[in-house]
Amino acid sequence: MQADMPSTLSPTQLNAGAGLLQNQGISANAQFTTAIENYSANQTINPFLQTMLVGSESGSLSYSTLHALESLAASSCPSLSDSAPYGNISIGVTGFTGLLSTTANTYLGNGDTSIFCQAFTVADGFNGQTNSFVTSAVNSQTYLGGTFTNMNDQITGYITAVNPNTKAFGQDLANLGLLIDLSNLDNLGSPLALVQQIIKVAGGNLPVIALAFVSVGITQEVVLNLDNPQASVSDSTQKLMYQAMTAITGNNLQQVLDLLHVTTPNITTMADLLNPCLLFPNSFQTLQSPTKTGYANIYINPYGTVNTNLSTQLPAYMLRSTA
Amino acid sequence: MIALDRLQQIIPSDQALANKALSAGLEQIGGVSKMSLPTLAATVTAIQPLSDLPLVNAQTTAVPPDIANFYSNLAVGGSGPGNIVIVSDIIGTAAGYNYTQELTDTLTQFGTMNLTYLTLIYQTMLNVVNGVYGTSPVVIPAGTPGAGTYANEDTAVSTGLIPVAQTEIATLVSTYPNQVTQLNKDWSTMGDQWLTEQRLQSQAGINFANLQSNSQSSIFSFITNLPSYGQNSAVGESNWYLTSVANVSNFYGQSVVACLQQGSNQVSLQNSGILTTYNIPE
Repeated sequence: MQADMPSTLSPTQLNAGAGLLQNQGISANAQFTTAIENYSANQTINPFLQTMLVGSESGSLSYSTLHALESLAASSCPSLSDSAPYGNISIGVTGFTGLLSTTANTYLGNGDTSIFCQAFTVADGFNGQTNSFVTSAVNSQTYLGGTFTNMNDQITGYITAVNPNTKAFGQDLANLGLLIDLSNLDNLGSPLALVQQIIKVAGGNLPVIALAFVSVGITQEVVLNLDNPQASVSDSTQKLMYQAMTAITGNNLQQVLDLLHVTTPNITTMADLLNPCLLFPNSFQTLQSPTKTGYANIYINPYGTVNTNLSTQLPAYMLRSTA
Repeated sequence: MIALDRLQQIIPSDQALANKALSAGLEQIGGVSKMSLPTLAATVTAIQPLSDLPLVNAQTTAVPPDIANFYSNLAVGGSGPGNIVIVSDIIGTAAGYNYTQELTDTLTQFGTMNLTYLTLIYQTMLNVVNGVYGTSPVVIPAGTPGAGTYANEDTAVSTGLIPVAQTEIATLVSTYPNQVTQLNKDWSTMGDQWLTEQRLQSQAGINFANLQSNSQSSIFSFITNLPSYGQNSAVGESNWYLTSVANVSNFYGQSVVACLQQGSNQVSLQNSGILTTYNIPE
């Protein structure tokens, strides 16, 4: 054994353990045993308990008489005869307090501490398990704050809330390679976000894109500054970017697709990379979005017609810049 | 963020709306902004949505109220906060939980009552079984409770003294209603505690007759967990219970308590960032 291997035991554990392994260190609570002794030694109770003990051991008292003594004041004031407070508690000639002493000793293993250790471990475990279930059940009525949709969403991390057809959705996502920067979802669909993702993956802008942008009238200053993640581009310039992207096809488009590892079929211009209907050919019909009234399909038919109700049902901050 | 009103000025408006809707959907996925698209793709492909489970899919709440009630009713009778079960509800007797105070109070109440005649009756009973008044016949002298001649000790107690005791107890009950009410409350508390322990032990599967004797592994396991038991110090819970049954008159019992305190301290120390070096190298 290596001397410097980490251990899970502390000195107090070793010291306590040595005692328990020798059946020492644990006993019935001292105040409790004193309370029982004081009660049993009480000048009224003591002769009564002695009567039952002597009468039982000598055989001078019959079973019926002993039973009558054991339950003497049970129905009116059991403490006056050390009787059990309830009829379904069975006691002997040592009275109710004798039962308590016996019970305590049983719990403590009657000298075998390992019995106590087993019982305590089970009790503590049962306590934890039961309360875990009970507390969880109580909290289950409020913990989602009314946001629960269905069990499918719950167990899939709300992926099925985006698209219940996970097989097709997963395939479409896989085909998109590195196209979408998930840390920039707020700008999903903007030409600038697409270019920034390309720059992020490639480490710089692609010449075919820069040339296309310049060709539609975007200034060289803007194009050269696109490498800057903080670059600010006007909406009118982004509109020109989109226009330029519609002209990026063929081999130039393939450079973009290869860079981003996009294998989605039927992408014919770079602008198509901003069209969800084309990006999710296998699953666009089941794409969903959260609205004020629940989930709604983004597309309403196989032809890619967008659900225009969403223009009023999405969260306000998504709809209006001034919201 | 680019909102719809701007995006639809840049790209076709239907595509703009679809993109905003798609981003709203994806943003529901916890932690999505920290993962790559291939990672999300792999995850979506790997997950198994519920299928062919219409009853589960029809749930409108995560846990129906009747199921929550079922679990609440499962643990009725615990003495912890919200009626939850605590360790002392299961094996509290050895710690005196719900007994010590009640027994002490019993004697306090006795001290305010005149129990002289009941004491005399009980003492007479003891004299009978000790043969003070003979054994066959038994002659309890005049002026003594149950005075008279009886065939034997059993008859003297059953027909002579028990009826006298019953009468005296009834007198005490009517003479001291406040004390009797408190005494009965104390003893009901003890009775309830004892019955609760038996019920919960049955539910927990604890049968002392079936536990393995001299099990060293049980003690090793218990010792390993002692510090963690120290971290629950609520009255009646593990720290309180084990401290109550630790025999602090010797080194080993004190070490048990020290171990519990170590566990309790560990939480505070770790929370404040203080490093501890409790453990001994093996």
